[in-house]
Amino acid sequence: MLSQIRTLITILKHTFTRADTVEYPEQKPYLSPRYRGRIVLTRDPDGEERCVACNLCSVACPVDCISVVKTEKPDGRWEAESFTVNFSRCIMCGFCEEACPTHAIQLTPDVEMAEYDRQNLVYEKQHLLISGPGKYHNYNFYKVSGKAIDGKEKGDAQNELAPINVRSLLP
Amino acid sequence: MSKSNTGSNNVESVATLSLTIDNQIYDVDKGQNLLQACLSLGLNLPYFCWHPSMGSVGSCRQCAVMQYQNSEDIRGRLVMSCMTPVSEGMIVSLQDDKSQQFRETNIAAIMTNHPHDCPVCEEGGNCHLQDMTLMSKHINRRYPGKKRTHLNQFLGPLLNHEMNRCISCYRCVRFYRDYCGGSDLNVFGSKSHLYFGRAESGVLESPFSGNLAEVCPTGVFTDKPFSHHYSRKWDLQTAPVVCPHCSLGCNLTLGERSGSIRRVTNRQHNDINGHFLCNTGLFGYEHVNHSERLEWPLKRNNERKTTDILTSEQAQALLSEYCNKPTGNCIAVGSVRTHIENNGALLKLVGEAQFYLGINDSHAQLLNLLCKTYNDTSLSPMSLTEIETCDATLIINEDITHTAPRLALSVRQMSRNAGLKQAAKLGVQHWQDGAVRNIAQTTLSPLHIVESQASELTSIATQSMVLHPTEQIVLLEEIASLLDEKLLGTHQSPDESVSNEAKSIVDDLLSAQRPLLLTGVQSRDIELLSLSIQIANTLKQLNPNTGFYAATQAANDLHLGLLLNGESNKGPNDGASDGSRVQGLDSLVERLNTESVETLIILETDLYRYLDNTQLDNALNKVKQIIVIDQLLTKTASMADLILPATSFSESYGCSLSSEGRLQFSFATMSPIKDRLAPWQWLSTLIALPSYGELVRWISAKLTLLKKMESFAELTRFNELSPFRIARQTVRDSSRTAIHAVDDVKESQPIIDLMAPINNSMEGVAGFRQTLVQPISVLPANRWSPKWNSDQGESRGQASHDQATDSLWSIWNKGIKIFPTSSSMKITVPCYPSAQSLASEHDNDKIRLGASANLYADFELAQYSTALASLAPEMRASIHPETAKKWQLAEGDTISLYTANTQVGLTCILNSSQAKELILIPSEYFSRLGTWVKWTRLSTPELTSEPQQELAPQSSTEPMQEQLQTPLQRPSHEEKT
Repeated sequence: MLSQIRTLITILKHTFTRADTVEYPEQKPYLSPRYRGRIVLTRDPDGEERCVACNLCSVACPVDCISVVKTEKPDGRWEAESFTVNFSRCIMCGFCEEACPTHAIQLTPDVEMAEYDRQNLVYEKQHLLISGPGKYHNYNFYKVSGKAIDGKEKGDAQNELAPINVRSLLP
Repeated sequence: MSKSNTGSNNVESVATLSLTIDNQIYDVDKGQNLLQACLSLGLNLPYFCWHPSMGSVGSCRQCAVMQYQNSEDIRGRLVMSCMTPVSEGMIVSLQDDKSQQFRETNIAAIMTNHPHDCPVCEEGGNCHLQDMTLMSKHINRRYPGKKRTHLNQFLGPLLNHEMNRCISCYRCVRFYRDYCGGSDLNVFGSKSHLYFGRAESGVLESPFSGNLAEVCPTGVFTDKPFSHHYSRKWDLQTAPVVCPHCSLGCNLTLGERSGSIRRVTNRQHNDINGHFLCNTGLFGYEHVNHSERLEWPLKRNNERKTTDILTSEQAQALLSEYCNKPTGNCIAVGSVRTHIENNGALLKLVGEAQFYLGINDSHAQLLNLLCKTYNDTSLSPMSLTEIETCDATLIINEDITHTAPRLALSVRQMSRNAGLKQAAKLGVQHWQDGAVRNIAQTTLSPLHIVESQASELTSIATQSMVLHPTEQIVLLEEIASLLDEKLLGTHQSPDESVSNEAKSIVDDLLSAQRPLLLTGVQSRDIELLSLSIQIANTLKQLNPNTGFYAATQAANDLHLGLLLNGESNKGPNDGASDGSRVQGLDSLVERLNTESVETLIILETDLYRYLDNTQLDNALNKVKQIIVIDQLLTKTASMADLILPATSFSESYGCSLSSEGRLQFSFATMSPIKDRLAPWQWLSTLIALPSYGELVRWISAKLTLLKKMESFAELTRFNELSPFRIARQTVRDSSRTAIHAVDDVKESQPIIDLMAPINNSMEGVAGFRQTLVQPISVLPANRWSPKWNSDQGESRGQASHDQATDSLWSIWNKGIKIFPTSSSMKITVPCYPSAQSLASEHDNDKIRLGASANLYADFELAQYSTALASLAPEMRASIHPETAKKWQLAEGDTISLYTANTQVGLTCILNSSQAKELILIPSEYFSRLGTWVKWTRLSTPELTSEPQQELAPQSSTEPMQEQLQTPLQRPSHEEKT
């Protein structure tokens, strides 16, 4: 008996609190910056594509909805020749972002992706690529990696010594 | 994992001993090191510098384990397991804290300079270093200092070089210099400055350099063509196949991704290729992805001067119309680069009298002789592993480094046996690589080479005799008569007329425990081959351990010799008509010229490689309909009226017969794309053998020696026999729902291959579990097991693979040797008119030709790989400087070589390491010209702009342009008449 009354009071109290739901779509709910929504491909601070087509996102994906094909640019960078995300399969789990060694693939707080035709949910590289660095502002993979590219020769990366002269007799 | 390793049926390894590892008692084989024992027991012990084929040097210190004196010893001492022989009652621990800590510290030191580039490294996901780092539990980098860096080198079209990744394990130089005998890769510098590379940037010379990608435990050397169409290892769909290039039948694993072949890796076959392949095998797969691959059936439309694309049904109808004409005189040409089934189907269609072999007559004759020998005498070819155990070798006029490269690698291992024997006397085990090489120094087993041009093997030869073919025959006759004397016991006092060379060869062969005779069909000289066989036969009677191997020229040419044998066995006068029964391409042209032929079916043969182009054009123009079944739009295919697209070795099942007489089965890596079908499938309705099983049974009934092939008809019963299908894809295969999404978001069902036991998907038993689930444990294409992602994991769990060989299904992995081994029959080797005597009938101004083989230029399909084609040498005729002086020729002169109906122009080069009075020309021209030609000077270098040119006058009929868009332009039959 007592518990029933307590229940009634608790429920009645809710009549006077602010509603948690919003009148979507007229009103938009707040989504935090790290909300897991639409996937984007970001660029490094110099404006170059971050994705090196290592395929780790693709293999981490539990629904196998990411397909990446590697190619190499004339300057020595690895790059995605094609990058396809099938959002009709994507479960927004964020494993791809976690797996990405270059902070290229990131999930954004955008969820408004509904389409009438399922085929339109297949996003390719041009649909995914944005012009900024996304959530991670300063990371530039090729500045850290020991791989030489045009404009960054061996020994120019962070924490690297100049290349060894193999013909030197000095110890 | 099995506790005991009793699987090997090898006599020496039956001896086992027991040891205690982490308080568990195991039985292991004697005579191995502790690391090998642990790995074969399936234990996880990290290592770098040890390699199953190259032994131990103890340089990386990664395989440290704790060894205890006795059961009371609790302190123990660290030992390098790769340098420690197993002994009875040994007590070791892999799991104890100190050895684990040692291994972690060691790898932390190894990793200090490793660049931060796994995402952009081709080795990533297939990296032994990644595996070992995780296995040693080195998860976080603690090194705060700066990393040393190195500059890279250009190493040619096959390999990338990224020295920053090096961990200084020395495997590359040990493989390249010690195992393959290469000299242009070396180690420079000291301490952490070690540099593994060439003295200067440049193409790696060794024909085995491609293996460095697999030998290197990390990404210093990576596969360059693979990098151009890269895919991670876990994404590759793999299947076990047999190499389609040379005659050795090495086992490969093909990796496929979205309809194209991405890479080839070695698939270990203990009797053939072991752990290594040659560059042609490793990189010669690009023809599968080539833009000239045929995709649809094509028909020449002579009225509209166009090429029409047909549907499969239309093509089938047209094919049966062409083949079933009542007046029809239908002739077929079989192929050396297709599976046996396809030639069998064609033979069934046209009958023996109408069936021609897709090789020159001279080649067919040699194959015929070889098959006869293997069948009738006690001589049968050895496996490559057996060759490695021999202790004296005579190579007779076959440049095996180029005609059968992997065989040359085995001969190099053979030559080490004298040194190994010395080491064994001192009690040093064969796997103690450094110690063995120190003891052996320059001691090599006797290797005598009779050749017409100094070869790569000369460097390890006791005696290399560069001789003109006629002198070679004299020498071999001397050897044969010396051996005969020995056999008959009529040993006379030393004869002055016999050369010292012959004596020393005979001495070495007779004093050896396992002498070996290597020869081949390269020289197209039947007299030389029969002499070699005669010598081998005599030697075999003197020493039953005598080995023999004759390298043939294409992946599957030996079985053509069997087709011939099958015919002559039925002939009324056996033996006497041998020579005339040869039905090669030269006989085909003769027949086309004399007889009106309605339909000519050409199966996977580019006739223009074997015959003079003008002569062939004329002969083909007389044929009413030409049907070509081929993978690629070759020059021959462009002459066809009907082209049927055939599957490549990556898309079809089938058997091939290696020059060892081993029948091997090759699985399809992917399903055929577009309208491609296996050639036997195109013919199956015509010959009324609709299923694979029926066809195979027909062939095995028809050709008695191929009888064992019927075991492969069981393929169709695989599904009944094994409860689980095998997955071609890995468990981690990615992007299944995205890879085709751009075309259609709805995922299509994987193509189900009902015939075979392997799936085109990840469904089924994964590779690493196959060893646990009999009877399908015999098809491990995908080398992966937990914690061992790289291909190096192969050396682990070897014991369980050996166990699988006992099962009925081992034929799928090991193949079947078809020639009898214990026959003691002795026949006289059939006598053919010698080429020499043939020549003497003609003018005296004829010059002897020789073939100068090259592994990058000689194999037809391999030439479609751009990387390999770029390594092929220029086409030149080489002459000894003295001979050139005599003939007043200089380097760069163009000469014309001609016979009655063939003519070829080539630029001369001078080569002092070849025989005199002999012109060496590329194999392709050699097969067209034959052994004896006349020559004339054509011009001096100033007058020619082209280095080489076809001198034959252009025929009036242009061959079809090599693009599908242009109409097929062979004149119709009506136009000609």
